[in-house]
Amino acid sequence: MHAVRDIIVLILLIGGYFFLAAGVIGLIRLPDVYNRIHAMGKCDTLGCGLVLLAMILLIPGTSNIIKILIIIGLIAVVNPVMSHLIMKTAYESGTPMVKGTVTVDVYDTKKGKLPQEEGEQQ
Amino acid sequence: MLDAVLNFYSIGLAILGLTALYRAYSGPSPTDRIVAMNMINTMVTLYILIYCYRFNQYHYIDVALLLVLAGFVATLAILKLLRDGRII
Repeated sequence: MHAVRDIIVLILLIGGYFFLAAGVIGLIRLPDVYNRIHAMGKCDTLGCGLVLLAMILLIPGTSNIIKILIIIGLIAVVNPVMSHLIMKTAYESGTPMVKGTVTVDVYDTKKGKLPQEEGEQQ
Repeated sequence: MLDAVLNFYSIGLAILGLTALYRAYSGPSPTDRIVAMNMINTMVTLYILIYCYRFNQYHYIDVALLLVLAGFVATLAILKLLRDGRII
Protein backbone atom coordinates (compact mmCIF):
# COMPACT_ATOMS: atom_id res chain seq x y z
CA MET A 1 0.00 0.00 0.00
CA HIS A 2 2.67 2.45 1.01
CA ALA A 3 4.93 1.41 -1.86
CA VAL A 4 2.27 2.34 -4.44
CA ARG A 5 1.65 5.64 -2.68
CA ASP A 6 5.38 6.40 -2.63
CA ILE A 7 5.73 5.73 -6.36
CA ILE A 8 2.80 8.04 -7.18
CA VAL A 9 4.25 10.72 -4.90
CA LEU A 10 7.66 10.42 -6.59
CA ILE A 11 6.14 10.81 -10.06
CA LEU A 12 4.19 13.89 -8.95
CA LEU A 13 7.27 15.44 -7.29
CA ILE A 14 9.47 14.90 -10.35
CA GLY A 15 6.82 16.37 -12.64
CA GLY A 16 6.43 19.38 -10.39
CA TYR A 17 10.18 19.95 -10.26
CA PHE A 18 10.32 19.79 -14.07
CA PHE A 19 7.78 22.60 -14.36
CA LEU A 20 9.41 24.69 -11.62
CA ALA A 21 12.85 24.33 -13.21
CA ALA A 22 11.44 25.21 -16.65
CA GLY A 23 9.92 28.36 -15.17
CA VAL A 24 13.16 29.43 -13.49
CA ILE A 25 15.21 28.74 -16.64
CA GLY A 26 12.71 30.81 -18.60
CA LEU A 27 12.99 33.58 -16.02
CA ILE A 28 16.75 33.68 -16.48
CA ARG A 29 17.07 33.08 -20.23
CA LEU A 30 14.15 34.86 -21.90
CA PRO A 31 14.93 38.35 -23.24
CA ASP A 32 11.87 40.37 -22.24
CA VAL A 33 9.58 41.21 -19.32
CA TYR A 34 6.51 39.85 -21.09
CA ASN A 35 8.18 36.54 -21.97
CA ARG A 36 9.31 36.19 -18.37
CA ILE A 37 5.75 36.75 -17.14
CA HIS A 38 4.62 33.96 -19.48
CA ALA A 39 7.22 31.60 -18.00
CA MET A 40 6.22 32.54 -14.44
CA GLY A 41 2.51 31.86 -14.93
CA LYS A 42 3.01 28.34 -16.24
CA CYS A 43 5.61 27.49 -13.63
CA ASP A 44 3.65 28.68 -10.63
CA THR A 45 0.30 27.14 -11.48
CA LEU A 46 1.38 23.75 -12.79
CA GLY A 47 4.46 23.06 -10.67
CA CYS A 48 2.89 24.24 -7.45
CA GLY A 49 -0.29 22.25 -8.18
CA LEU A 50 1.59 18.99 -8.79
CA VAL A 51 3.74 19.29 -5.65
CA LEU A 52 0.70 20.16 -3.54
CA LEU A 53 -1.12 17.08 -4.90
CA ALA A 54 1.86 15.00 -3.74
CA MET A 55 1.60 16.62 -0.32
CA ILE A 56 -2.11 15.74 -0.17
CA LEU A 57 -1.20 12.07 -0.63
CA LEU A 58 1.42 12.29 2.11
CA ILE A 59 -0.09 14.37 4.90
CA PRO A 60 -2.75 12.66 7.09
CA GLY A 61 -5.85 14.25 8.58
CA THR A 62 -8.99 15.60 6.97
CA SER A 63 -8.56 19.22 8.08
CA ASN A 64 -4.99 19.35 6.77
CA ILE A 65 -6.10 17.99 3.39
CA ILE A 66 -8.87 20.60 3.20
CA LYS A 67 -6.35 23.36 3.95
CA ILE A 68 -4.03 22.18 1.16
CA LEU A 69 -7.01 22.04 -1.23
CA ILE A 70 -7.75 25.65 -0.28
CA ILE A 71 -4.14 26.56 -1.10
CA ILE A 72 -4.43 24.88 -4.53
CA GLY A 73 -7.65 26.75 -5.32
CA LEU A 74 -6.18 30.02 -4.11
CA ILE A 75 -3.09 29.67 -6.31
CA ALA A 76 -5.18 28.65 -9.32
CA VAL A 77 -7.36 31.75 -8.92
CA VAL A 78 -4.80 34.33 -7.80
CA ASN A 79 -1.92 33.54 -10.15
CA PRO A 80 -3.54 34.43 -13.52
CA VAL A 81 -4.93 37.62 -11.98
CA MET A 82 -1.45 38.57 -10.79
CA SER A 83 0.14 37.80 -14.19
CA HIS A 84 -2.46 39.96 -15.93
CA LEU A 85 -1.94 42.88 -13.54
CA ILE A 86 1.86 42.74 -13.85
CA MET A 87 1.55 42.64 -17.65
CA LYS A 88 -0.84 45.60 -17.72
CA THR A 89 1.37 47.67 -15.41
CA ALA A 90 4.46 46.92 -17.50
CA TYR A 91 2.62 47.90 -20.69
CA GLU A 92 1.22 51.13 -19.29
CA SER A 93 4.55 52.24 -17.80
CA GLY A 94 6.22 51.77 -21.17
CA THR A 95 8.63 48.92 -20.50
CA PRO A 96 10.58 48.34 -23.74
CA MET A 97 9.88 45.16 -25.68
CA VAL A 98 12.45 42.95 -27.35
CA LYS A 99 13.70 44.03 -30.76
CA GLY A 100 11.52 42.85 -33.61
CA THR A 101 8.20 42.78 -31.75
CA VAL A 102 5.20 43.81 -33.85
CA THR A 103 2.41 45.45 -31.83
CA VAL A 104 -1.01 46.78 -32.80
CA ASP A 105 -2.30 49.25 -30.21
CA VAL A 106 -6.00 48.42 -30.38
CA TYR A 107 -6.93 49.95 -27.05
CA ASP A 108 -5.46 53.30 -26.03
CA THR A 109 -4.75 52.68 -22.36
CA LYS A 110 -3.83 56.27 -21.55
CA LYS A 111 -7.18 57.85 -22.47
CA GLY A 112 -9.48 54.87 -22.11
CA LYS A 113 -11.03 55.18 -25.58
CA LEU A 114 -10.72 53.27 -28.79
CA PRO A 115 -8.68 55.21 -31.37
CA GLN A 116 -11.39 54.66 -34.00
CA GLU A 117 -13.95 56.46 -31.80
CA GLU A 118 -11.64 59.46 -31.55
CA GLY A 119 -11.34 59.60 -35.34
CA GLU A 120 -15.12 59.50 -35.73
CA GLN A 121 -15.57 62.35 -33.27
CA GLN A 122 -13.10 64.54 -35.12
CA MET B 1 13.54 6.41 1.09
CA LEU B 2 10.95 9.14 0.71
CA ASP B 3 12.52 11.15 3.54
CA ALA B 4 15.89 11.27 1.75
CA VAL B 5 14.14 12.24 -1.50
CA LEU B 6 12.36 15.07 0.29
CA ASN B 7 15.64 16.30 1.81
CA PHE B 8 17.24 16.54 -1.63
CA TYR B 9 14.03 18.07 -3.00
CA SER B 10 14.21 20.93 -0.50
CA ILE B 11 17.85 21.54 -1.51
CA GLY B 12 16.70 21.65 -5.15
CA LEU B 13 13.99 24.16 -4.27
CA ALA B 14 16.61 26.33 -2.55
CA ILE B 15 18.77 26.23 -5.71
CA LEU B 16 15.80 27.32 -7.84
CA GLY B 17 14.99 30.14 -5.42
CA LEU B 18 18.55 31.43 -5.42
CA THR B 19 18.60 31.33 -9.22
CA ALA B 20 15.44 33.43 -9.26
CA LEU B 21 17.11 35.79 -6.77
CA TYR B 22 19.73 36.55 -9.45
CA ARG B 23 16.97 37.93 -11.67
CA ALA B 24 15.59 39.93 -8.74
CA TYR B 25 19.06 41.44 -8.22
CA SER B 26 19.92 42.32 -11.82
CA GLY B 27 16.51 42.90 -13.42
CA PRO B 28 16.61 45.88 -15.76
CA SER B 29 13.06 47.03 -14.92
CA PRO B 30 11.07 46.95 -11.63
CA THR B 31 8.57 44.54 -13.18
CA ASP B 32 11.31 41.93 -13.54
CA ARG B 33 11.94 42.13 -9.82
CA ILE B 34 8.23 41.63 -9.09
CA VAL B 35 8.14 38.51 -11.29
CA ALA B 36 11.19 37.08 -9.54
CA MET B 37 9.61 37.88 -6.16
CA ASN B 38 6.52 35.85 -7.07
CA MET B 39 8.70 32.91 -8.07
CA ILE B 40 10.61 33.01 -4.78
CA ASN B 41 7.28 33.19 -2.92
CA THR B 42 6.17 29.96 -4.62
CA MET B 43 9.41 28.19 -3.72
CA VAL B 44 9.13 29.20 -0.06
CA THR B 45 5.51 28.00 0.10
CA LEU B 46 6.47 24.57 -1.24
CA TYR B 47 9.43 24.38 1.12
CA ILE B 48 7.21 25.11 4.13
CA LEU B 49 4.85 22.27 3.14
CA ILE B 50 7.72 19.80 2.69
CA TYR B 51 9.12 20.84 6.09
CA CYS B 52 5.72 20.32 7.66
CA TYR B 53 5.51 16.73 6.42
CA ARG B 54 9.15 15.93 7.13
CA PHE B 55 9.10 17.00 10.80
CA ASN B 56 5.41 16.17 11.57
CA GLN B 57 4.40 19.73 12.47
CA TYR B 58 1.13 20.09 10.63
CA HIS B 59 0.13 23.52 11.88
CA TYR B 60 2.68 25.02 9.47
CA ILE B 61 0.09 24.58 6.69
CA ASP B 62 -1.60 27.74 8.00
CA VAL B 63 1.71 29.57 7.52
CA ALA B 64 1.82 28.49 3.87
CA LEU B 65 -1.79 29.64 3.34
CA LEU B 66 -1.05 33.03 4.85
CA LEU B 67 2.15 33.35 2.80
CA VAL B 68 0.23 32.94 -0.47
CA LEU B 69 -2.30 35.59 0.59
CA ALA B 70 0.38 38.01 1.81
CA GLY B 71 2.33 37.60 -1.43
CA PHE B 72 -0.75 38.53 -3.44
CA VAL B 73 -1.40 41.63 -1.35
CA ALA B 74 2.27 42.67 -1.52
CA THR B 75 2.27 42.34 -5.31
CA LEU B 76 -0.88 44.46 -5.55
CA ALA B 77 0.66 47.15 -3.34
CA ILE B 78 3.91 47.34 -5.33
CA LEU B 79 2.01 47.44 -8.64
CA LYS B 80 -0.17 50.29 -7.37
CA LEU B 81 2.99 52.12 -6.29
CA LEU B 82 4.41 51.70 -9.79
CA ARG B 83 1.23 52.89 -11.51
CA ASP B 84 0.16 55.84 -9.36
CA GLY B 85 3.30 56.83 -7.48
CA ARG B 86 1.59 56.25 -4.13
CA ILE B 87 0.05 53.28 -2.36
CA ILE B 88 -2.96 54.68 -0.48
